Order: sequence, then C-alpha cells, then structure tokens
Amino acid sequence: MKQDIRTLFTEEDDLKPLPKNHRSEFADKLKKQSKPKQNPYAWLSAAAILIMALTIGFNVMEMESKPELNHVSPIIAQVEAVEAAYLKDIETEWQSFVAIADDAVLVERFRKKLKDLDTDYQDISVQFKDDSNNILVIEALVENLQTRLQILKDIQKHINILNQKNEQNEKSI
Amino acid sequence: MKNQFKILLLMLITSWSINAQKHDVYNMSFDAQNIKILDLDLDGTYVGIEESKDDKIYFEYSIEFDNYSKKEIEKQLEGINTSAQIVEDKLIFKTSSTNVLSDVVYSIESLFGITFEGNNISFKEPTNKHWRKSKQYFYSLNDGSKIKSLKEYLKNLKGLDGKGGTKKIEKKNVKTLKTNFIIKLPSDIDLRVVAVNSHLTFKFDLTTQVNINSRNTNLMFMGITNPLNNFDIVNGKFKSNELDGGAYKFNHLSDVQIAEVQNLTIDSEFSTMKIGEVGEHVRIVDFNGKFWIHNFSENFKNFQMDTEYSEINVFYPEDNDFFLTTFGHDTVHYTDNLITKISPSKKNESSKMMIMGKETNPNKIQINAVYGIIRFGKDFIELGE
Repeated sequence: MKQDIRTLFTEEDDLKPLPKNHRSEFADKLKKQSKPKQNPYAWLSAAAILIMALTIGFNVMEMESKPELNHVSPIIAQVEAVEAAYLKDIETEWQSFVAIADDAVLVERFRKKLKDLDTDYQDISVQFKDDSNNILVIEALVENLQTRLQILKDIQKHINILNQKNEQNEKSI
Repeated sequence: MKNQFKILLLMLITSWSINAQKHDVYNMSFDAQNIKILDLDLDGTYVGIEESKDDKIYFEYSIEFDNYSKKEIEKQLEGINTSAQIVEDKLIFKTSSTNVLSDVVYSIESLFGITFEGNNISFKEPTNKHWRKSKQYFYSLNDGSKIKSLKEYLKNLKGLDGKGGTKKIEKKNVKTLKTNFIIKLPSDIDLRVVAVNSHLTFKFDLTTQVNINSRNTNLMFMGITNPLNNFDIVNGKFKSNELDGGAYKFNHLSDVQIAEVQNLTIDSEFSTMKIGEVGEHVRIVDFNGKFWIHNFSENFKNFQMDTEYSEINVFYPEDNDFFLTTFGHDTVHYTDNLITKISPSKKNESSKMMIMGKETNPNKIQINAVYGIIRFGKDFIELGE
C-alpha cells in the first residue's frame, strides 16, 4: 500500500485561492464540522477524505487477513458513491449555467471542456481499477470531479458580475 | 553513561541501514559528442534534470525503500520499465511506472485507518486583498522543491484506535519510498519531452531549443531562453524563473507562476497565471483564464492581451510612464474604487473602453477584453466578494 501524504499539504497557501485547493477545503471543512452553516459541497470533500482514510485502513486489514475477495471492494463502492453525487451536482450546475449563459459559443466551449475532463476521468478510472488503494489515483479522480464543478461555478460567478451593472461610458484618466 | 549512549547510537544507525534499501533502476551514461537531441518519453516519474560537467549524458535512477518487504520492493521495481537507444543524432530515453512515483511517498499502516488532526493544520485565512509582489518573490518560490520530513507529516495525522479515539502513528508503521532520478546532460543539447503523470525539475538554465508536450505533469524550471521553444502543457502546474522567447500553450493549469517573461506568446485557457514581471514584447491570448500581472520591466515596450471571459488583475507599472488602452465590450473595469461597466454593443462589436496615460509614452499596454473582468491596482487589488 502506498499513498502520497506529501502532496496533501504542500501548496503555497498564501498564493492559491482556497476554494480551488481541495486539500485546504478538506481540512477546512473538517475544522468546521461542528459549525451549523456548511458549504453545500462540503460533504463531498468530507466523503473524499473518508475514502482516503478507508483506503489506508482497508488496505492494512486486507494485508493482514489476505482473504480471497470476490465482492466489490468498499473503496470502489465509496468512490462510486462520491462519483454519483458529484455528477449529480455537476449536472445541476451545468443546467444552471446553460440557463444564464447568453452565448452559444461559450456553452459549446464548456461542453467540450467537460467532455475532455470526462475523458481524462475515464483514463484515471482504468488506473483506479488496477490499483484501487493508490491514494494518488483516488485524489486524481476526486480532483477531476471537483474541477468540473468548480469551472461551472466560476463561470456563473463571472457572468453574474458582468450582468450586475449596465451602464455604458468611456473613461479617460 | 557515555558508552551506553554510543552503543545506542550505533544500534540506531545499524537499524536504519538494515531497513533502508537502495535499488538501482537504471544507471547508464552515453557519450554526447554526436548527439544533438535528447528525447525523453516519461510516464509516471519524478525526475531532476541537471547540467553535466563533461560531454556525456547520464541517467542515474534509483529508489530507496524503507520498511518495505522484499516482495513489495520486487513488485514496485517490476512495474518500472526503462529503455534508451541512439537513433542518428538523437538519444531516445523512455521510462514508465505502473504506480505514479513522487519524490517521497509515505505509506502508513494503521489497522483502523487514519484521521487528520484539524487543529494542527494551519491554513492562512482567505483574503480578498491581494498585494503586489516583486519578481524576486517568484524566484524564491520557484527555487527547488520542498520536501516535508516524516515528522512534519505525522504532526497532522493520527491513527484510529477502533474505539472512537485516536493514537499516535509510530514511525515503524510508516513505509517510505524515495525516488532519486537525475538526468544530466550537456547544456548544448536540444530537448524534446513528452511527459504524462510526472514531475520534472530543471536545475539549470536552458538556452537550447526545448519542445515539451505534457499532460497531468508538474514542471519546474530555472531560466528558459530560446525563440524556437514550443510548449504544449495540459493540466498540471508550471513554474519558472525567466521565460525568454518561444510559444507557450497552457490548457487548464491550476498554477502557473513565472518570475519574468519576455519576447513570447502565451496561448492559454482555463488556467490561473501569476507573472512577476512583464518584459519586452509579450502577447497573451486567453479564454476564461485568471491573471495576476505584478510588475513591468523598465522598458517593456508593448504588452498585449486578447481575452474572452478572462479575469485580469494588473498592478500599474511602477517608476515608468505607460499608455494603457482597453478595447472590447461587455467588460467590467475595477480601477481603484471605481467600477465601470462597458455593455455589449448592439452588434457585439468591440470599441475602446478605457485609456490611461499619454499616447506618446513608449511603453504600451493593450488589453482586448470581451466579456471580461479587469482590475487595476497600485499596491493591492481587492476582489470584493
């Protein structure tokens, strides 16, 4: 069993916006577990952490007992559950984006981007099937899903800023 | 008492040398007299690239295992394939690993799993105020890699005891895999690199022609200077000190940090980019990227951005005159405390949106922004939300 603990907290925190840093998000959400107000996607991050913890625990138990496993690994089942939840949220954000985007070219570019990310996801999934205890692979899967969700949220925020004001003038300084 | 201490120390050293095992993966050197190009095909590896002091190309690849069983080591090593061959004036080196390798990989054994000790993780509070940073700041970020010690990692992790509590993770239950892979080459050899799921750190200034095509790969450079350079980077991270010349394509990079840029074009999309200083003749074409431009060199002459749905944050050039125009439509400008929105024209045609400075100034900034957000600041830029 191996896992890349090194990569969990190595970002230059002051340079990277926290919402994009899923590791920071994980830790942040954990710290705020007892607080009443939560980000709607916080549970996804928490679930991803749980998978990583389970990966380690399960792997050790598997090593100790060495049973012949004929059933689906709990890790695979957990990842599938997280994947399904993310995909549902991505679909919701996509519909919301399409509803506010008044630009067919923009929508098409995002459709292509999401398709590319999905292709990447399928490639990583193949690695995951071969090596389901590899923490780097699990992280890559979760990161891919988070990226799709994040770009959809970011572009909607961008469009909302553009739509806030509607006055035309030219300014010279 | 002193003797007892010495005996104990000796035991500890012996114990480490028994547990830690270094295994050579690939050790080879090639005479580079007739080699003009080094072609690297890398998959799932972590490599440092250095300058060789003689006319040879070296590959020094080993892995250190600590606390791994013989069987586990064999499995790891069997999953790594490397080969090298010379074809005419080109040395082609390939390596792939079934498990993605990093500089250090820690594997923790805990029967009931592990947990993160949130209180020990100190993340800085997010702030909306972003301060101008010097190009030296970016140099310091890009110099070398930082490896956290095992002690640092364990500070943030605890094992679960199966009874609802946590317990300290013992070092004896941690397996360590350390990748030591160095490629050394003479500085006059051109480089072609195809990299997937890898990490490359270049430890000398590159002045020959470099073509890099990478995916899901982190790249760290010192200086890169050559007008014919061509980079096509998809996913991952990119850090460099000076970039002078060439064409760079960044597609969906979560972190691009460059201390200085000049005489180049950047074609990017879905990427976040921080530039310490813009020098002469820089052009950026972008879709839906986020930019932080911190400084301009004394005579940057012209800087042009053509963007769509991009977020551009620019600190005004300090200590030199400049002429800035923004051109486009449906774009929001944040200038200090002023917010100006240029709405779309009826025909969605671009027009001049904002002017700063005198047209006769020799240093010109032109930002063409459609559906953009542009923020200008002197010392800091506040994002506002």
